[in-house]
Amino acid sequence: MNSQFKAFIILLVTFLALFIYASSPWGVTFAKQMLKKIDLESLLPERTDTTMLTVVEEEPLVPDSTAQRFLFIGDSMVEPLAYRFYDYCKESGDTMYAVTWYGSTTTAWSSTTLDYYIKEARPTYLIFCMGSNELYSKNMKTINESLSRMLSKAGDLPCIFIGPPNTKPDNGFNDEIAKVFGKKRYFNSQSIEMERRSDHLHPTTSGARVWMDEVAEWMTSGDCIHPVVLNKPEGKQSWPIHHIEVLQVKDKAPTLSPRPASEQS
Amino acid sequence: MPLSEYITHYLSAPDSTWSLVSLPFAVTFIVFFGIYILVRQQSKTVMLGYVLTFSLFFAYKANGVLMLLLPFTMLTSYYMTRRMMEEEEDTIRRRWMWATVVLDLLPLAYYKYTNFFISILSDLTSSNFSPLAIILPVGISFYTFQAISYTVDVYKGRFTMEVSLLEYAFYLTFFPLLMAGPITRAETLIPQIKHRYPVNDTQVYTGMWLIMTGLMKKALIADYIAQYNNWIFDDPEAFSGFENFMGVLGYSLQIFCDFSGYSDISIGIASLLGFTLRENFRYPYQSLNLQEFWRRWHISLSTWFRDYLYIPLGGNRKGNARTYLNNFISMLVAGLWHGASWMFVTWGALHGLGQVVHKFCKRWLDQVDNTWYVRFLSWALTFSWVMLCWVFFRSPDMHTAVTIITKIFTDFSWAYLTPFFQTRTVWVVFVALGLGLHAIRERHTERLKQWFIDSPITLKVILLFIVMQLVVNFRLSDIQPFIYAQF
Repeated sequence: MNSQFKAFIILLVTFLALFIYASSPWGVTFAKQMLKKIDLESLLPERTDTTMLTVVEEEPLVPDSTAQRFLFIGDSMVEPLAYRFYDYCKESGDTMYAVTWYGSTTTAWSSTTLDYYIKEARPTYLIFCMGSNELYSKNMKTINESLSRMLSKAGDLPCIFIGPPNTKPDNGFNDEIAKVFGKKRYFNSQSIEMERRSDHLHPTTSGARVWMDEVAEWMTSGDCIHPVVLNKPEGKQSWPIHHIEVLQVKDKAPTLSPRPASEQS
Repeated sequence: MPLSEYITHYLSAPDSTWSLVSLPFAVTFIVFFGIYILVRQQSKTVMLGYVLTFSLFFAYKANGVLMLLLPFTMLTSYYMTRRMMEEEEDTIRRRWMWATVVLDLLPLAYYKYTNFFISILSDLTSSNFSPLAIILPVGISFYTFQAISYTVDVYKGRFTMEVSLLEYAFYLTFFPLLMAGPITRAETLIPQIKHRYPVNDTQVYTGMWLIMTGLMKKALIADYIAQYNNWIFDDPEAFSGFENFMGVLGYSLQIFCDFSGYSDISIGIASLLGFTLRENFRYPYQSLNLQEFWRRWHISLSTWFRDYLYIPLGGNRKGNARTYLNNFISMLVAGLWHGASWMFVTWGALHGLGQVVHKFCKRWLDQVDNTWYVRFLSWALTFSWVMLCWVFFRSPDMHTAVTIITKIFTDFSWAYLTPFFQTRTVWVVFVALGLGLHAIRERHTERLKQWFIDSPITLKVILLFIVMQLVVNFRLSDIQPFIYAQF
């Protein structure tokens, strides 16, 4: 057989195998790693940007004045923000339960970890703040899926997403949040000027104060889909360490055990 | 979208992601290759016409309408070179040669250097010129240099073959070489076009081997480790001296894997089609001095500058001082060729300076015993200098380069080693593996390649599938940006 023809067959068979796997509904796991699929969408014509949603004129919403039980979760950004937010809650008669998981991502949170904390904290309002660890991710498709999973797990609970405070353009992460959560559930943190730590990303305590004040103002306004009454705290900042659960990078976050098959409907 | 509409759109729309490692290209290439095998049995003209059409399509997908510059360069350089050879008097012939070279260089000068010169002018006159909205056509630096080498070789009598327009067009537009070389001389490719040597298993499977190793280098290692290196060069102040050092080390491997990987794929595809090209990288980080480094790094470019700039400037024929100057100028221009910015010029100048110092000290260095520790010291010094030069090559501005170097020398602590390894284990493994591969002797790689060539087809399919799956898995893997420890 002609050597070039043999090479052609090798190429053809290999790519056919990759294509069949990519278009199949199942996934193969090897050595605890899921074998990823080639991106068949890259063969489709480039689509126009649909990430920016159209602004719909709506009646202004009235802030909810009932006492809230906030579940505030996300990556390392949650910790400095939660110190300030705790004071807002105290001032407004609300309660806060915060979980800061260092190095975490939307994918990590969208697993049963989120179910666990919703069940544990029984919140009336969910606040997500994450994304700094995946700003330059190449997996926007996976991020989109994770964000959608988080939104669907929130169910009927009012929820908002505080975007990461990146100073340099990302790979489309912030656009993806706006796309999945909608503009009125997404707080864009990119334009906020705040004092930062030596890593040039995490805010200092006073930087986080500025950031949280902006978020709180937005949360009480009609720009937020679920506005709530939040009174601005005055005086010294509290250090509510007992109200913030800290998970390290390598920690295995608590998850809900899957229900036995017999109990599944 | 209906199939006919999809095909029309696919054929007519340029693709910003188009390259030898993109999925759309891979699919297109398989279709092209299947037909090529049949076309190759036909006349030479049909085969040349078929490949030429595909090459122009390739250029269009990458560049859109700017691809028209390619046929422009092709036609002008071909006809002007012919016209040059019709002249009998050497002075007039020389003028034609210069006119052709200048005309070849004009598009490159305009598209690549206009804004650079505007910024210099703006700085000199303290005025406020706005940069022009110029898009640099992909591959223009490579095919321009090929065109120049053809004209000069014909003028000097180094290439004497009669070449038809179709053969020349094939040579200048050959798609595996279009985007990033290797810059191939007429004497290498044109005889193979003319004579159509038979293709054998060794040539074809060598091509496949090169494509596989190239994909591993470019799409697996380089693209994966680049994520971390980018953070360092974007904002070095946000990281410790140790992390900056690792970023520079990582970038040294990244640029090698990226460039040599792409070259391997180019040479591999040409080999599949039945054309043998010269190697472009030969274990450059094994070099014991800078002269040797440039004999191993981007060989097609360094030999181009040697033959068409360094030697015409006088080479080493006009005394030591002129040799040093010629060497320095060549490296300065080589720096500018890589990009229109002072950072590339600085990179070229540092390499030039290093070579001059090495040449100056050579008479004493040659007297030193050739022991293992002398060789190790030579290697360490050469590699460190090359790494330092990469800082200027990659940094967007002088401030970033100085910050990285300052950080490495003033904020370095081994305490970062463990958390760095724990947080970015795969990155460290890739860098160690990539640099470790340089320790392998060439004959061992050759033996491995021969084993692949002799292996059965089913094993080749499995190996190619594994490589492709690794590429897919790691291309979509992210690296942890921050060390969340005590730092």
